[in-house]
Amino acid sequence: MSAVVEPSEAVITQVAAVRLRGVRRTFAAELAPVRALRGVDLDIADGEFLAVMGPSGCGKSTLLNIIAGLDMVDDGTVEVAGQRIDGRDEGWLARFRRHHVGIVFQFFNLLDGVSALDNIVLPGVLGGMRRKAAESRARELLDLLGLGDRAQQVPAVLSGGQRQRLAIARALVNSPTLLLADEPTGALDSDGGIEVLELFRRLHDTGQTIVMVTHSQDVAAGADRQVVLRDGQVESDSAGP
Amino acid sequence: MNFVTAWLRLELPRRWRSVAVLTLLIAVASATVMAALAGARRGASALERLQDRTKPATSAVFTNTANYDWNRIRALPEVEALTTFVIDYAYTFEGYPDNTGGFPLADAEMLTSIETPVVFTGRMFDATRDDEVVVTRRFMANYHKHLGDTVVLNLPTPSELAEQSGSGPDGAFTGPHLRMRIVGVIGTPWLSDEPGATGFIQMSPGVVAKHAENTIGPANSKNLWNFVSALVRLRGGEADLPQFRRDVVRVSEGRTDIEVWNLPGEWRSAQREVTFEARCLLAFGAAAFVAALFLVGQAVARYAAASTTELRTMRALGVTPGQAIAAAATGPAIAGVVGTLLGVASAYLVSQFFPFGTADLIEPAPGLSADWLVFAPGLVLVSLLVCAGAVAAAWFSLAAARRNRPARRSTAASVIARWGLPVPVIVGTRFALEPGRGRTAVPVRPALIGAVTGVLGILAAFTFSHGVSDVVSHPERFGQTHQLEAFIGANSQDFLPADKLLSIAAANSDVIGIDDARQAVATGPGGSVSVYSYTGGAKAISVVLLSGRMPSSASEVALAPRTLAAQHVRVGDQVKLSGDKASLVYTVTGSGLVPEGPRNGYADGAWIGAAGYDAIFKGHKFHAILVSLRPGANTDATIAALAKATDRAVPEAAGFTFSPPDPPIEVAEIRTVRALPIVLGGFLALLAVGAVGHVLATAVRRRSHDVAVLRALGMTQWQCRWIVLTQASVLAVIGLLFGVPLGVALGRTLWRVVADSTPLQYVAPTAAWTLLAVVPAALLIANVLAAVPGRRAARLQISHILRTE
Ligand SMILES: Nc1ncnc2c1ncn2[C@@H]1O[C@H](COP(=O)(O)OP(=O)(O)OP(=O)(O)O)[C@@H](O)[C@H]1O
Ligand SMILES: [Mg+2]
Repeated sequence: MSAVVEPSEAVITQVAAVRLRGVRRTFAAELAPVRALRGVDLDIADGEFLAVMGPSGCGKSTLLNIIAGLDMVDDGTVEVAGQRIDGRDEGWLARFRRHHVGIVFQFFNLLDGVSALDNIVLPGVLGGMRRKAAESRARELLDLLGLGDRAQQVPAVLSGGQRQRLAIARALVNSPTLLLADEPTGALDSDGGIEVLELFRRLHDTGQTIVMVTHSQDVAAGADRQVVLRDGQVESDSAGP
Repeated sequence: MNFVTAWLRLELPRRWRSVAVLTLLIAVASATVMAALAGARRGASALERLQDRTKPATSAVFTNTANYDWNRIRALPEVEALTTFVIDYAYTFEGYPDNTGGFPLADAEMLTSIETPVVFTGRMFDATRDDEVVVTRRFMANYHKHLGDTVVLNLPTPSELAEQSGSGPDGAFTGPHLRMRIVGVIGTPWLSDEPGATGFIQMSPGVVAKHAENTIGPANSKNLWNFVSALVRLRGGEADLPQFRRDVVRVSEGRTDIEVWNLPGEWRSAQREVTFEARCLLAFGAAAFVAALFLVGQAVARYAAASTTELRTMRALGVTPGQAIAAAATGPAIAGVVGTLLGVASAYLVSQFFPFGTADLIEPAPGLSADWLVFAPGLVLVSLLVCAGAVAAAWFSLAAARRNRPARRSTAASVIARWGLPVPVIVGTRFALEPGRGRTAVPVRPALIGAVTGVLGILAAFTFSHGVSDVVSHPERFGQTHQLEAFIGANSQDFLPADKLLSIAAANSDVIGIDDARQAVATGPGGSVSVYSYTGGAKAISVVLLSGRMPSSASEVALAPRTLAAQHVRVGDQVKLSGDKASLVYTVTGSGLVPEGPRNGYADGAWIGAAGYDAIFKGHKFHAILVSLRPGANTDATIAALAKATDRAVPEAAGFTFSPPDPPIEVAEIRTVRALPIVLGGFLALLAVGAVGHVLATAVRRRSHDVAVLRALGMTQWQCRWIVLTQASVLAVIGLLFGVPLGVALGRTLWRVVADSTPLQYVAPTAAWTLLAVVPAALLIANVLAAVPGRRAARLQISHILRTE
């Protein structure tokens, strides 16, 4: 069925941006299976800025990967932007991500040896933009994120904070419904971290839905809502149960 | 604009060097394979193409009498064309060896209605002039001549002709001196260069027309030496020969001593030679193809795998698996198409050196040649293979990444770690044996396969080549187990007393084997068989047996391998052979090689014991004594000793000597293909060096982070070099461990296939020097290859790398 139902580009408003029900994910490991998520229910409203926290190994990255469609659930349902994404094939998920999900990694994962501009243009082209349009969108984003004068430089010469801003620009090029960030400040010093957080807040003010995993209490405090995971389950949620 | 083009725009500027190297690798590999295949096809068809263009003669007829009226034969209904030439040895071309001139032509038919030549350059001579010659290609090349250059023909006076020797200084002929111009370079099946010959000159029939007294001799002279013979082209080709033979006897007053040669039969043996050369080239091409498949395959795989690490990140941005595979595969695919195009161009350029060996002498269209039956499928096939390989490699490495297995750890590397060896050695071993994961992953198996293939190829090539060298220096592999021979009779008449000569030979202490070889032709169910009588006993000559044993009773026979096939029998079967006296059913006791005779090769014929021979034959076609000597015996001294003993004991045989036999023609044939395995070995080694070198360079680049961390932990620059040197050495050692035994086995297997199909005696070849040299050579080459990446590892900018990741 996934072959027939193409991912819709329209966002059905009034529904949650993300809706998880009974999500379970278990990894096979050498000694015993690791139950990374053990029944997570979570709703994230449109336009919300959510921070996910919790001790190392509690399943934060797994949760994010599942929302992004990079990982599959063993059990439960995942709805993003009003569309069921569990049980879809890789190709469907990839096309879905182009328009609905932007991802920012802890370690940037930029293309080495490729200019800052081209790092942004490529996913734009991927999302269906013409090259000219993608370029002007990329310049707009670089200006917005304070990297306007760095367009032709390669990632290796940028500072950590600059690289992370470049990665965020890349995630935003197709105006995703949802911006996902896995410890975006983890590889940065505190100035870099503040830089990124402020950027997120600005984006949030324009209505961008953001889900951010972080270890840092200070960074999490910048978000609207904080969810704490422990042992693969939601331990606390600042928005109340 | 789609994603794949966008990706390539970023990818190609960054990785053009890899793409270029891959392109070159594919170009070299595809050029080698296509050149070999096209060369093989061209060589194998050379004779046929020459015949198609030249109206070749079907028979050469020798009456060996003066004033024979050839019009009688010309008038026979089966004769399409006939040309006459003079069997004339009494003339010289000044400054050239005696055999440089072809027989003088006695009419203008030759080269017009029969044996019409291929004219390579210039034109045919004017048949009415006595100052024009044409020459062969070999002649031009050997003597560095050009069109328009002249040669001087010295003819004898009629009396010198009668004497067959000149009366001038140094026996020079003092008849007419003709200055003749080279007007063209030509070739026909009859007028083509022999292997090893220096080329020859064909004079215009104008010479005989204007100087008959100096070539044929005075008209109506009775005791002429220079008989006129003829080449005949029959309408029905070889099928007309039996009828033609009967008709020749009929129109020649019942004479049965006229020789009527079967030229298509002779061409078949020439064709066997070129087929052999072509098969060798084909085998070379096939081996090169397999090697290229491995080594180019792994280069493609490495390239695609390198792209997929980045493409995995791109997948998080919405790249579908199909797009990722297409993006990863396009670089190698471009290299594949461009490389193959370059390969076709190179194969075309190289075609001017083909065919080689015997086929080169008869090639009617030498020079550049585009064989589109090879090039076009090659172009398509190689491009498709590379694209398919790239897609498969990309798919596998993406799938492997999805499975996200923990990095494979090498048991060998863990064991070495436990031995407490220095850290650089441990790290280097891990680099060589463990692929790593994620962005730093380097596929190790292809590198290992590359190293093994390189060593294997070299070993196989040299082992095979050793087999070839062995055969070239050992005529006994072709059944020539005797070192001396003497012809003592023909047509049932002995000129010399066989029994006396046999006992003289037997008395010599250097002689270890003697055969009183009478030869006659028997007829079996599958055609005629050259039979040799086998003396046997304590001083029997050894015979190369491919299976079974020699005959020991009067009703047993050993057949040569091709005769076995022709008679449709196997060892142990019975075969009925008919001689000029009787017929007898023999039991085949074995398959063995026979001496080469005027009408049989070493693989066609039969050995029958003396009693069995006498049972069906009245006499012999010819009679020879074959003598084999003790290993290490001085051949010349033995010849002298035997001559002395003969002079003393057999006065009527004064001046008689034994002489060494001519080496089998196959020795020269095999010599022409001697270089092939070495070229192939070199090709494999080159590909292996490329593969291993590429892996070492990639590993340092991909694992620079690991190295940088080690440096930060206190490893010195020298220790960093040691890592790469160890990695290279481990690859070399593994290459040797598997490559040496597999290579020897492969070389021997291939040599056995050649030995069985030639056929010749198989002796397991052992390339001792290669075996000794390959270990230090492989280690040395690996470490030389490691030098540059090693230096790069030592000079990494640690701070920069540690900051990046
Ligand atoms: N691909 C995988 N294979 C096996 N086990 C995995 C895999 N991915 C995650 N895990 C396990 O699942 C559990 C949850 O991992 P996850 O990466 O989600 O943790 P995390 O909360 O992001 O931790 P951290 O804060 O350290 O990043 C861990 O025990 C981890 O070892
Ligand atoms: Mg994590």
